[in-house]
Amino acid sequence: MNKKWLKKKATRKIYFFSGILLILLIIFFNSLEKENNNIIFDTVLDITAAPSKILARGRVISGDTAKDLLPKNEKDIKIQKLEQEIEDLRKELIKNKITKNELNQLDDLKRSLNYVEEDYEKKYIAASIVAKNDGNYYTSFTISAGKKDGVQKDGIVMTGKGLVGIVYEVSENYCKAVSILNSKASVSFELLKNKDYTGIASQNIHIDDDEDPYKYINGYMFDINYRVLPGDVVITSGLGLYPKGIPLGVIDKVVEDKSSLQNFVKIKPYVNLKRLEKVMILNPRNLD
Amino acid sequence: MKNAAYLLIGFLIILFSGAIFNFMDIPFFHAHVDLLFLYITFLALFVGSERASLIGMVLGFLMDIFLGRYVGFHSLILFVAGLSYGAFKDKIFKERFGGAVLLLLCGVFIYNIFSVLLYKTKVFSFSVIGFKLVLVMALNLLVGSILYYPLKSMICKIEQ
Repeated sequence: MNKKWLKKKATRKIYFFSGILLILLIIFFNSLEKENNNIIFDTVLDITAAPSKILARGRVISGDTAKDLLPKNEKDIKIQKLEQEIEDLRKELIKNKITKNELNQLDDLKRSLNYVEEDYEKKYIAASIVAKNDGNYYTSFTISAGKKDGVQKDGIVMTGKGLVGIVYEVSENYCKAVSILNSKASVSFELLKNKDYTGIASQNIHIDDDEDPYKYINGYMFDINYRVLPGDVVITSGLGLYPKGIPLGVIDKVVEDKSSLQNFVKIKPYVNLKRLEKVMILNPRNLD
Repeated sequence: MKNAAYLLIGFLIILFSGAIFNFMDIPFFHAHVDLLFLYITFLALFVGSERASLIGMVLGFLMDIFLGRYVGFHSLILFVAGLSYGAFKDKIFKERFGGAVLLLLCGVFIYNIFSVLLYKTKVFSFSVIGFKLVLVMALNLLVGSILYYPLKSMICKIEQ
């Protein structure tokens, strides 16, 4: 009797755990196909991220205090100042180039085509990074701004230095973003030195070399005859979802593929994903 | 009550990993340890399959929703890890960390292979991924060896 009861119990256990395994598999495969946004997940994200926000603030404050307490090296201060100066100058340069090159052309075009003004206002939402995943194979962030603050899916996350990533999930108070190095989305870009030198950056593009794929954004130029050189500054071109003029990084390497008549480029992003604290989110344009 | 304590510890691991540890720029070629996987592995060896798998599943869900890309991935991995490692509960010599850490490394290897397959956004060369895999496993070996005795004594205290 006892033996039979034990056998029955063991069988029930097997059914129970097999059932759970099956449910987990269904949830996982469903998640691969569909978005994860539902009220349960959103609520759990809001609850989990709240204490993390406090911890993240503690991390930032303690980091700042430690920096203040440590004796400052004159060289480090100079480097910091110079880096800030370079960043400001880069912003200024991008702004001026875009304004100068295009203002006249746009005015002419507007007049000749009876152009309808695009109803898109660049509204930046300031937020902080609450948490980050381990980043071994991809990097994603949880950010302290959600639907309540006006964040939309596919919005871009950026810092003063440039593009960081793309929002893929939004809850009421928080959102999650995947880094530009791991996003499958395509971003159209142009070179700052010449707005006619355009291309597409996407992590689906394969460039044949042995370098760490998680350090660079891959891309290709639309024309093999463009004179692209390492060190050229890359900015978004304004085609598609994202506005013009957001810095992506600098060209690190140009790989010419004569068989496919394409120039592939490896772009080194400006943003250091390891040292992110404050970010801005910019919602995508409505292309409809 | 004991299970609640294990869940709370797991939740704290998720919070501290996400908000603090993952931001640390460890000079180890940017590799990080998945502390939650390590925790569930050691927990399974001490409390058995049933409890470890269910705790792993709940914590995995939290991890997926809080930081993950796909809901169900971590919960599935941690559920299976808890279930399979729990079978070794009375079959390994727990006074030394060798056996436990060896099991951890096997699990980390499988877990990382699945991660690579799931999250690969680029066509990569095997040498790059192989190098990363070796680094992650070496780091897990190091951290697992350090954390084995503190985790063991903590679990034993909760069980008493």
